[in-house]
Amino acid sequence: MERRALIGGAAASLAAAATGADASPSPRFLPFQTPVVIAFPQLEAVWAPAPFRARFTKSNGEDSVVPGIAVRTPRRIEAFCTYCPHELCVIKLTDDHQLRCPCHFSLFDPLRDGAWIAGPAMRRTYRFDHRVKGPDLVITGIEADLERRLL
Amino acid sequence: MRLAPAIAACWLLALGAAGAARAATTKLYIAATGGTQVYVVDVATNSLVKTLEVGKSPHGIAATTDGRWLWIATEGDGKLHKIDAVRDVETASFDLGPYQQEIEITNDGRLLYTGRFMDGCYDVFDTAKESVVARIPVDGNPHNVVKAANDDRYMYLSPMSIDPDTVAKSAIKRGTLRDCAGKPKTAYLPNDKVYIADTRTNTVVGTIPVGGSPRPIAASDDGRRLYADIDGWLGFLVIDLQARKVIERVKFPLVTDDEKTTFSRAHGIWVTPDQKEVWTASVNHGVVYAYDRTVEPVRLVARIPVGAAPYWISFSPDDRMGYISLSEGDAIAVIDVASHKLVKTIPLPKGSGPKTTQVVVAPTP
Ligand code: FES
Repeated sequence: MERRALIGGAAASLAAAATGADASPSPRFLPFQTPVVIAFPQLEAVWAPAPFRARFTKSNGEDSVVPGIAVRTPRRIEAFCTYCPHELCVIKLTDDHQLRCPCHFSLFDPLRDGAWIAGPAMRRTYRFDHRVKGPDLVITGIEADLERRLL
Repeated sequence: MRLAPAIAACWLLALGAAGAARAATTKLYIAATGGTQVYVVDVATNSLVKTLEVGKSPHGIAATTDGRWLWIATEGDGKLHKIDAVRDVETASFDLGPYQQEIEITNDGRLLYTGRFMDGCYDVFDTAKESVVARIPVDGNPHNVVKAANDDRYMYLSPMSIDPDTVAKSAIKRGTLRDCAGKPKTAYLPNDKVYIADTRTNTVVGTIPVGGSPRPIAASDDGRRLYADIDGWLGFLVIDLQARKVIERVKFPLVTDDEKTTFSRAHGIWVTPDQKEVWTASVNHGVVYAYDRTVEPVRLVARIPVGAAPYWISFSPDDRMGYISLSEGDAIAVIDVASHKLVKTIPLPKGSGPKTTQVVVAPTP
């Protein structure tokens, strides 16, 4: 059985609307060359992130790698792109369970689909296309809007 | 990021006095932009010796050439702090408005230049009158300012740009993007040039197109060359300051598959005190690059992996140590300049987010 992971969707749009972030309910995704598969046992501990990197092909034909983390929050399993939407520094999950950028300290809420809280990023984290498939979290693509920042 | 000029002389004085009383103390000041502190490291031991509480998000640091006074701009509360660098105590602070960024000071210690990020404006603060005596409007968002150590006739201003379609539009809507006089702007002009401001008139006397949003810049001591990090260019530019034009565009050599496929940007650039090398950094790749600048085109002499994202660069006055702030790693990487090897990491408190650094040779009390 394949179903949408308890991530994104309407909750994401609501969070986005509430924060003034990108309100697009269903962004276009660029597919990864190989989907990322993270087995649930890797995500057993709450707030223990599993970092991953995934490769996709940009429209100019070049390969690009996007970093992310999968993490079990008290609510559900999530996956966040860790490129900060501001200047693409790499966001970290803090001890007090926020996503924080080390460059200009933008903050994002992992309990609200990566919604923007503060700082110069001014939008939520880039979205992954991801599903729960059997005992795995499968991540298949990245929000297409990221690509214009990488060209 | 920088070394107070005349420091080389002070350093020699200090060495000459070795064995007798120490004539000066060489200190590295670190702006902890993620917090409210400036950390002080004793360069002799490369260890943390003091923490100064200054204000929210310290960003800019500049020192007088005699090493007596240190100025710190705090971005979060818009203040300029005057620090007695001998005793490391704050003696005064001045409210200059929010989003203060990098700062620079003339060699006589009189005029201090500070950028107000959201106001498209560099303020000129007279340290004797203790007030702003001139304002220099620019395109984009004021971020960096440097001088040539041996020739402070000009200040080089490098305002950066924010995304005009999202961030600038939203700031205009909220009335937070303003002009020099504090009037809300109705349109935003991104910046793609370095401004040259004459310190005698505090007016712009020239611009140098750089083809993108300029980021950290560094001038050679003799005022002949400027080196610039630019958004969208993973490398740096070499600028002839007499001809006022870009003479070289240097690209970092990407070695690993990771470097070839992972986005990064250049941030943090400075010239070694002996003027032989220019160092700059690739943030997301965690690499510092050293280039021989005694030849042109400049020649790559070392790529130095430092792990966490490098962000700003400064040097000890004897050319022995390079200091790289690792904002992501809450630490300072200490590099041996001769061997280009990482020799030590100075840990800082978690979340401190070290950024701009300044080495100062302060007289002993
Ligand atoms: S790159 Fe993340 S806040 Fe600037």
